[in-house]
Parts: sequence; C-alpha cells; structure tokens
Amino acid sequence: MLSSTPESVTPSAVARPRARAAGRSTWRLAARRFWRNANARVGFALIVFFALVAVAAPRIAPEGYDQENLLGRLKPPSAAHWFGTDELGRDVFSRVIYGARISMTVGLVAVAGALGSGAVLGIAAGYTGGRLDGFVMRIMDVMLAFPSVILAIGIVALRGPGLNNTILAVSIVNIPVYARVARASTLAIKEHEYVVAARAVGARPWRVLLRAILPNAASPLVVQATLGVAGAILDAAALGFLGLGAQPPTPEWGAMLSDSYKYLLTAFWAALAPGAAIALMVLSFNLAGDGLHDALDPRLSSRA
Amino acid sequence: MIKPPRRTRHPVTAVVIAVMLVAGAIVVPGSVTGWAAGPTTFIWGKAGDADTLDNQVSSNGETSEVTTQIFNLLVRAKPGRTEIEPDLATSWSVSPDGLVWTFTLRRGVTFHDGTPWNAEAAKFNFDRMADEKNPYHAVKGFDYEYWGDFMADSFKEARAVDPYTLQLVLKKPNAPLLYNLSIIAFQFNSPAALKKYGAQGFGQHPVGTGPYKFVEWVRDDHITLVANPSYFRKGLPKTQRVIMRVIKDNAARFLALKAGEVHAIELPNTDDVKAAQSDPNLKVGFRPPFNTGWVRFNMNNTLFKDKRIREAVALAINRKAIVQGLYAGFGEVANEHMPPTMWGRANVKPIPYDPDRAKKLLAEAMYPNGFSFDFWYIPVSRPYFPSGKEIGTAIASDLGKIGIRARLQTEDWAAYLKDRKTNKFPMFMIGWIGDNGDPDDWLGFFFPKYDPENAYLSYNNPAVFDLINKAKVTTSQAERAKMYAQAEAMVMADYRDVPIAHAKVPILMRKNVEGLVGQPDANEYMETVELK
Repeated sequence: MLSSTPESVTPSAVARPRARAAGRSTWRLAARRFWRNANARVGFALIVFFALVAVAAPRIAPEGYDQENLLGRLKPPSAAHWFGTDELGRDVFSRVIYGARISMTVGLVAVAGALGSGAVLGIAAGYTGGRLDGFVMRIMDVMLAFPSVILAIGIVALRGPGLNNTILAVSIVNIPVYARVARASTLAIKEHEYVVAARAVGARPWRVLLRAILPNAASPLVVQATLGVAGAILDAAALGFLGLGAQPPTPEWGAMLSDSYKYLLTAFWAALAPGAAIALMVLSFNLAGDGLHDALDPRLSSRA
Repeated sequence: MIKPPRRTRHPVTAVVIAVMLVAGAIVVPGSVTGWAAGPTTFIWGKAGDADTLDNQVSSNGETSEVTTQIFNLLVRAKPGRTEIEPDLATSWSVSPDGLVWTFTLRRGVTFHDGTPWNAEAAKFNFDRMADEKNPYHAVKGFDYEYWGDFMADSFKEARAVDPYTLQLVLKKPNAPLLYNLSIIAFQFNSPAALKKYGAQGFGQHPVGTGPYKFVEWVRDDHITLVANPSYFRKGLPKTQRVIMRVIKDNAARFLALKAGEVHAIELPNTDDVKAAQSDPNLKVGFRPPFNTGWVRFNMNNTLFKDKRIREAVALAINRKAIVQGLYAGFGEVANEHMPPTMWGRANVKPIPYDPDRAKKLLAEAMYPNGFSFDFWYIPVSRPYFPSGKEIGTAIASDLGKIGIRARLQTEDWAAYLKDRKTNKFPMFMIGWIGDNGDPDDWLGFFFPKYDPENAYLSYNNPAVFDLINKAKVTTSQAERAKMYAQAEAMVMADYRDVPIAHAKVPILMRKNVEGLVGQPDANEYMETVELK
C-alpha cells in the first residue's frame, strides 16, 4: 500500500527490482523524515544509550549486581553509591545498569519472537484466506480477548517463574497484534498488480509471500514492533513485580521495584531508580516507534 | 496493546497512602474523643478482631489476647516467661505411672456470675471439651483444635474427687500435660453461663474467673472489659477498665497510639518501631523471642546426605550479618531449635562463620568447585524470618562465595507448606512459633520420625526419635530436659538444620504505661497494667 507499483517491470523479475530499487528509496525517505522529527531523535538516542549501557554493563557498573553489604542497607545516594543502596545493601546504580541488559534482552527477544510467529501466521492467513484464515484469526481473537498481563501470568504460572518463561509468555501474548497487522497488510497487498503478475508467471506461493508481500507489509510491522518493545518491557517488569519474572538476585527492574517499594517512605531511591529506568526505556521506544510510524506513513505525518 | 501505566502505580499509591495517613492523623483524634477515658481505662490497639470469646473452641491469637483477661487456667505461664505457675490449681502431683494427675484447686474463687469454682466446675469443662456428644460441645464453625492436638489422644476422664481435688485420668502418659494446660484454649468457663447461653451463645457472653469481666463487644470495633473486684490475685487488676480496640491497619494503629487514642499496640511496622524509639511520648517493649527460623536440608537428596556438604553450607552462612542487617535489631542468632526462654536446650557450641573451612569440606566431598541446586525461600513475613526473600537472597549470596550456586525459588505459602512435606525442595527455609513452654511442642514436631518421601522429615536418626518419644512419657522434668538436650545435641552435631535466628516481637506503648510485660505466647496479662 505504501509504495507505488512500478509499471515497467518485466514479468520474469517481478518482485526483485521493486523490492530493491523502490524499497531502498522508500526506506531512505523514511529515514530522512524520521531524523527530522526531534522526538524520534531523542527516542533513538536513548535506545542507543541503553544499548551501549547494556553491552558495557560489567565495565560501567562500579559493583557486582549481587554484591551485598547487610550492614549498609538502604543508604541514601552518595559518592560511593550514586543511586544509594537497596534492602540488601547492594549498589542500586550497578543493579540498574545490569538491569538494562535484562530489559533490553527481554524486550527485543520477546518482540522478535512475537513478530516472527505473528507475521508468519498473519501473512499466511491473509494470503490463503478461507478456512485457514478464519481458524487462525479466531484463535488470535480469543487471545486478544484476554487481558495480556493475565494471559502472561497464566503462562508463567503453568511453566514456572523465571526470566526465560517471562520472555516466552510476553512473546506469546503479543503474537495476535502482529498477526493482525500482517494479515491486514497482506489482504491489501495481495490484490496489487505486481502480486497478481507474480502469481500469473507461476511464482510459487512462498516466493510471492517472501518477495512480494513481506517487504511491503514490513513497515507497519516495524512500527508495531518498535512500539511493542516498550509494551514487552512493561509486561516483563509487571511479571517481575509480581514475583513471576526474574528470580533474585537477578537485577530485573520490575523485581527491583517490587523488592524496594515497601521502603518507599524511608528509602525512596531504591525504588525510584529502577522505576525511572523502566519509564525512560519505555519512553524511548515509544518515541522512536511514533517517529517511525510518522516517517513510514507520510499521510499521517502531515496531520496538523 | 493498551497497557496500564504500571510504572507509576506504586509511587502514586505511596502518595495516596501518605495523604490518607496525614488526613487520618488530623481527622481521627477529633472524631473519637469518646475514647479519652482518663487514667482508669487502659486502651489496647489490636491488629484484628476476636472470632469468639470462647477460647476452648478457637485457636485465634486475637481471641486469646482477650480471653486471657477474662479467664483462668489450672496453671499459667509466669509473666514474661514460659515456665508455669499456679493459677486455679494451687498444687499438683502425678502418679508414678504418669496416668493420673491430681490437682488441688484454689478455694474461695467464684466466676463473674457468682458460680463457685470447684472440681465439679472444672470437670464440667473437661467433659465439654472431650465428649463430642456433650450438649455443650458443638459450636458451629469452630472445632477444639488445641484439645485435639494436645489432649485428645491421651485423655480418658476428669474426676471430681472432692470439691477441691480434681483428677485427670489418662490412657497413656502425657508428660507435657502441665505445659499444655497453660495454653489459654484450656480456659475454664462458668458452667452456669454455658447452660444459660448455650454452647453457641457463650462465645458472645464469656463468663470466667479472671481479673476482668466482660461488658460489651462491638464487632470489628472494640471489646470492653471492667475490673473484677473479687479477683483472687489480691491487689489486681490495677486498672478499672480495659478497652481493646480493633485497628487493622498497622500504620493507622501506630497513628492512634501517637495521638494518644490507645495506650499500647501490637504488631507495629518495623519502621514505626524506629519512630517510636525516638518519640518522647512512646516506648518500646518486647515479647521475648519464642520462635526460631532455620534452613532445613532435604536429607533424602543425594547432595545433602553427605554431612560434609551440610556442614559446609552451615559454615558458609554469615548468620551474624543476616541477623544484624535484616532483623531491624529484634533478632538474635539461633544456635539450636529452641529459643533461650525454653528449658531442655542443649547449649551447643555455635556454628562459626568459616567460609575457608567450608571450601575445604566441599573439596573433601568431591565438589571443589561447588554445585548448583534449588534453594526455596518462604514467600511471607514471619517473626522468625521478617523477609523471607531478603534473607533467602543473603543466604544464597553467602553460598555463592564458596562456589555453591543456590537458585532461589519460591511459591505460594499454602503450596510451600504442603511441598515441604514432599521431596520437591532440596533445601528450604522454615520456622516455628511456640505454643507453650514444653520442648515437646518444638522437638516433638520437628523430629517425630523418618519419611523417605518427605523433605521435612528426611532426617533418619532413630536414637533421636527414641529420646524424644521417651521424653514425652517421662514424668520428671529434670530427666526430660536431659533427654531433649541430648537429642538436640545429636541433631546439631549432624548439621541436620542450620538455625538462623530467634526474634523478639515489639509492642509499642505510651510512656505512662507501666506493668505491661510482653508474653512469649503474645497473650499479655493486663491485670498488672497501670497508667501513671
């Protein structure tokens, strides 16, 4: 829908030039629009910042995330402990830094999983239509009908608490979102002439899907995925907060929040730092996602 | 996906709570000026309401706090202690075979309704508790839990030999009987009142022999008691009225204390204890430690069958640091299962903190680089483990220092209590709060037998079981004490458990409160309380 159909394509190479030549310029244009958007720039910069922090965590963190000092509990921020210490005397600053690793990983892996399976299901359903479409999308509807956190809690309860199961649960509950987006795009794209042409020259279905439809359905999925990372991080933090996510001493931000909020009145810093970190990371993905959305869909970006 | 703004929920909650607390502090004092009752009324802030005032059928601690003031027992715990002293019985003896206990009853005591206290009245109460067909036995929604746990399997009958001599005849010896009878669930009700109100109604119209008479009970609000002028302990009670107010929220209860609406409260938040310590109008009292928290090994697990490994774990845990850091100053390091208030202790040498030796032991046990396993921590807060998660994490980190990787696990408390009786847990945290001052209530529960399918009962040492079972039927307390101490010494030498801590439980009161002595079983005697 987003890219205009090139008219002068030879039937034998129907998808390739379109995906390469036209696609490149589409993405380049989008990138330029993205960069003009100040909010998007901030979001992107924050994501890069968090990514760097996550990668370099052991080098940046002044202390280990599980280095306890039971006699120095809940100490306020100081030169030695920039964000203070938590209920076991661990350095909150170090834990928040290590936590970036976990939240980044959870967000990205969970979304990658959801995006992968959701896109496959959605495109297959949309392209095939008929009973497969009905069957797959009804399952997606049922999954969407559950509040996502409740569903995630159910999955974790079934498989036991832990970081891997958190990723799995967050991934599963997000599949329907991507399936829907992918299906909607597919339904529109499959009627375009270049797709019809590809089919007419005898391209196999998987080739049509991979070369003609997927590249054109990608942009709404990318937008959704970027925003989805924010949602996945929040979901994972919620599970961590409920004690179903990462188990101690893992410095997962949600779990850190739940361990320290009871000391909020006497030692607010222990809860403030992970809370602010979650907020900031979610914000960064939301800003970037909105920017991408505007950049990839010029019709919307021109709204007043 | 639309997500609730989770990251902001807790700060918002805190702000809301703070606002409500401030509002409460401003509004409440004005609204209940009726409580300002002068120096003759002692007001106690309770954490919850009683479920009945007939303690024979209840095991609820909120009930016992009240019934302790209205009723008496044959024998009771000394103030602030677990040892017993005479109450409605002045002396007692037991036959050499341990089957007949003879109690000489106190003379000249009457119930609040004028019914005389004598052997017939005592027998009436025992008959009611023991016989399910007794017309005064059944009470809807309640059972005789303490009777079932402590008396049912040994009790045969109660005999009124003469008006002031009561005999309890047993089917088999029950050495802890005297201590068991000091539990307030064996209170003596007025037979006339039971007949008048019926078993069902007595819980709302309690009539006993105690220092205070029942006046009124407004559910979930307060219970009012007034002094019994003919109480048999001369000069007591010292205060004319006792009102027990129910304030369920810990913070609200503390604020009521600060505002002077109540004179003393139980179960404060830890942070509020610190606030009370620095408040010129308040002081802090303590219930003596009557609980123990420990780490238990599943000795059915191949790893922990090896004594060297158990010893290594015990040596690696820095218990002193845990108690200093995580018990808010109310804990003391535990060196055996029973707290220092108990008799029959082994007084074993404390396990030192020695990670170097622990490493050597691991190497001897062919695990020089440690091993990994699941370590289960309790999901709730108990007096003996104020925060299961924090203490569990601290223990796991201590073990990490000698190379043992303990993966922390937990689950819902009800499931946890059930699963500790399977082989699911390789190592876990658990504890005990005492019911009475008899070692059988402790060691008898921890080491009754061996069960290969049960982590809790995975210690197989018949010599220990023999000693504990023999102690249960031996009549001489000195001999029993020796047996329990011997059993405990064997258990500790085997590193069966790693005791972590005993904790005292704080009570907060206003400066002018005198004579409120914290009781290990949490049932303070308010007869000695005075307002200066």
